[in-house]
Amino acid sequence: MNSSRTFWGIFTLLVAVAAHLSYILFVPSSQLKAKMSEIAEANGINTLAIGTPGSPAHSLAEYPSELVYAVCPFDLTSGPLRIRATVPEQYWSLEVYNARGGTIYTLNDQQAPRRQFSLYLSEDDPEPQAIVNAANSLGSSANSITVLTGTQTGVVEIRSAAASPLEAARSMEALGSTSCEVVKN
Amino acid sequence: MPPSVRFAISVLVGVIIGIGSARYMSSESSGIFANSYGKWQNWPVAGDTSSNPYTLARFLTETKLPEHFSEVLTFYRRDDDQDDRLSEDCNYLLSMPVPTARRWSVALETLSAQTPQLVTQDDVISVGGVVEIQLSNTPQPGNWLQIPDAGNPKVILRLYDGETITAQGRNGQLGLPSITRLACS
Repeated sequence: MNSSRTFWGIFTLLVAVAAHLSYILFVPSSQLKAKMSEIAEANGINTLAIGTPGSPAHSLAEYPSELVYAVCPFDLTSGPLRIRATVPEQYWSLEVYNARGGTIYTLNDQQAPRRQFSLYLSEDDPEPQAIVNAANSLGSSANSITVLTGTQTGVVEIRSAAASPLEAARSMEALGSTSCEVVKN
Repeated sequence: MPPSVRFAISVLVGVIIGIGSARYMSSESSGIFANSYGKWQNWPVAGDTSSNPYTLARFLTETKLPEHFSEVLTFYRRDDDQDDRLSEDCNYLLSMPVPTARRWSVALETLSAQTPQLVTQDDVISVGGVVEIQLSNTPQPGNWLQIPDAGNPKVILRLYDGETITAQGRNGQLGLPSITRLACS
């Protein structure tokens, strides 16, 4: 009787450990993936979506009364991603995440090379000439940043100050002239 | 009891315990993986690729992308300096040295409010290098954040340019606010 109870006790414990690890390792990233799919369905992949109220992208906004958010779910299968960013004269940040929500790269308005610049995302070991060609074709090689992501999929989130109507207007203007698109090899 | 029934009960109990414990450990209320700075807490490695899965889950299960700590440090608390829960029936005084962060905000979030009450460095009046903000359900002179009628108030302090602030914190100069209860109705 006692050995039977011990067996089922250990079995229950093992099931609990398996359920715990399965949940913590897979559920959060699958929820992020589902949200990215929803945003990509509404706006397209490799396209910048501004988080206006009611849009799928808006649900990512953790502090919507303080910041304006824009997201670009990316897939580098068909080539590097180019973000042509316009940085307002106020707090602004860009963060590149992998598909599991880990940060790959961050940049803010004080670190940006200029008010307008290009940021290229490429998976590991890109063909260097492809990046150079893409940059040269846009005349922006002296004003660009290349980030090796080490992953094909992920998301870029841009946040810009919006605590006052003036800040919000500046942010919307800057995000309106920011683009996100694949550069064909 | 037949073995098949024991098996089903063990699996059910194991799954409930496993998922329940994972959800609790990754929740904000558990605070297991949060850092404490006096009465304030924050998630120190949020957004980093080396962050533990519980920290990531804390954000991703709410489909929020964690901001990297080099950009923003977010602190929160639900208690006053006497360790009593903040209440809409009481008035509080939040007091702190003017933060040296390039940008900062104090927000009051409740379950009932759609958008949090918010003040930034541009909204407040500071005297003698000290910022004082009254937290109250009714209007107060000077800097004031309204506590709505119901909903488990939470005070959120956000310091932008986290790297600088973290460096200052190592020297004991983080200067996080005190919250003193003034009176209750």
